[in-house]
Amino acid sequence: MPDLATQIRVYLDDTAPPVTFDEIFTERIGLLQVQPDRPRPIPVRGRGPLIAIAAAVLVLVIGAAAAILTLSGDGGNDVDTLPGPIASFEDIAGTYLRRGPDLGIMGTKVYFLFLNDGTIHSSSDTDLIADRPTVIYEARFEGTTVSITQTGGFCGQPDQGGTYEIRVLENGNLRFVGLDTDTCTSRSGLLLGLVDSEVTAEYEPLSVGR
Amino acid sequence: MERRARSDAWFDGLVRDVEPGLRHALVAVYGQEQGRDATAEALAYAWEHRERVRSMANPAGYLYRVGRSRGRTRRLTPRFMPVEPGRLPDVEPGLPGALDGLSERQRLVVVLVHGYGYDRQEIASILDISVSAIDTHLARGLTKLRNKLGVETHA
Repeated sequence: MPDLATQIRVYLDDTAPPVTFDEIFTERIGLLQVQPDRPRPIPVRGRGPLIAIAAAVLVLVIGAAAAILTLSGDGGNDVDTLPGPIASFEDIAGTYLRRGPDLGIMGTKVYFLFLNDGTIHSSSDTDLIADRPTVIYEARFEGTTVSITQTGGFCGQPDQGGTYEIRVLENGNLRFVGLDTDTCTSRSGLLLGLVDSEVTAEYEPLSVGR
Repeated sequence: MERRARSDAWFDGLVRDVEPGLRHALVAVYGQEQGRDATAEALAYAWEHRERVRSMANPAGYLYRVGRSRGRTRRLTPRFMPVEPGRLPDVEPGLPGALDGLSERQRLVVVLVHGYGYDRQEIASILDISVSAIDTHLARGLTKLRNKLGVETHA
């Protein structure tokens, strides 16, 4: 008998083959009632104070966003207004915190460690990012165009990678700019932030110069 | 034809990237038939809410919770298919029952980490537990699995 891991794979691969597009679409669209971890509705009588708080928070957020956009002047995706792209990690090597509009359901912080050897580690834990990262990206520069592939994470194999530019903003943050359609949507979503949106992810330096 | 009419390049890529891990996880939780169903429904949810899902950094984790939510709503209990005699000669016939005897988290970790080699930290983040808890579930799950299979194999 093969080892246990092989038996598990053989058994499940044989009895639970990949889901097809027909299975996804047939009689499912329009019928779904599920929501991921949706909180219970609040009784109508208890909503008054919450609505007032929510409205106040919304006003503050909108005001802050407007102020930030006014001050920074680079809130959009207009690549022409960004500083020139970098051609190596030499000047940016270090640990960065991803500042993005959305991190899925996890709500956890994601850190990126840029290393001089052209690799990028990501992790939600700065203590583990150097030695036990969640994902290791390999970045290869051709001029200012960087091709990125990865080990780990939910990208298909073989990983065809995606090409990006990395720009250092005036405030010291990094921003990825996608140059083509990355074959891995998980990666492009993480690196870029909201795809097809005016809001993009930035990477705030925490300890640069490692 | 139906697929081409409804899908697009983004969704094709999402399914290619996310479906294997999502299916492995949901099958580990619910068994083959219900797990595949939950996977298909989670992916259908992704299509219906594509504008929202495409903006996410971690769609796999989100869709896993969609699939779990579906299971909770319907109060699914895991069901693992028996190994048909002669069909899988390299698989212990007692494996389905042994998997069924594990706790849900033990089964998830044994299947994902031990069976398919997924990264422990990534699974820890999706399950929202620590890596050391993953190691504990894995060790206990494997011990239980081996004991069960050993008893059944040598009885």
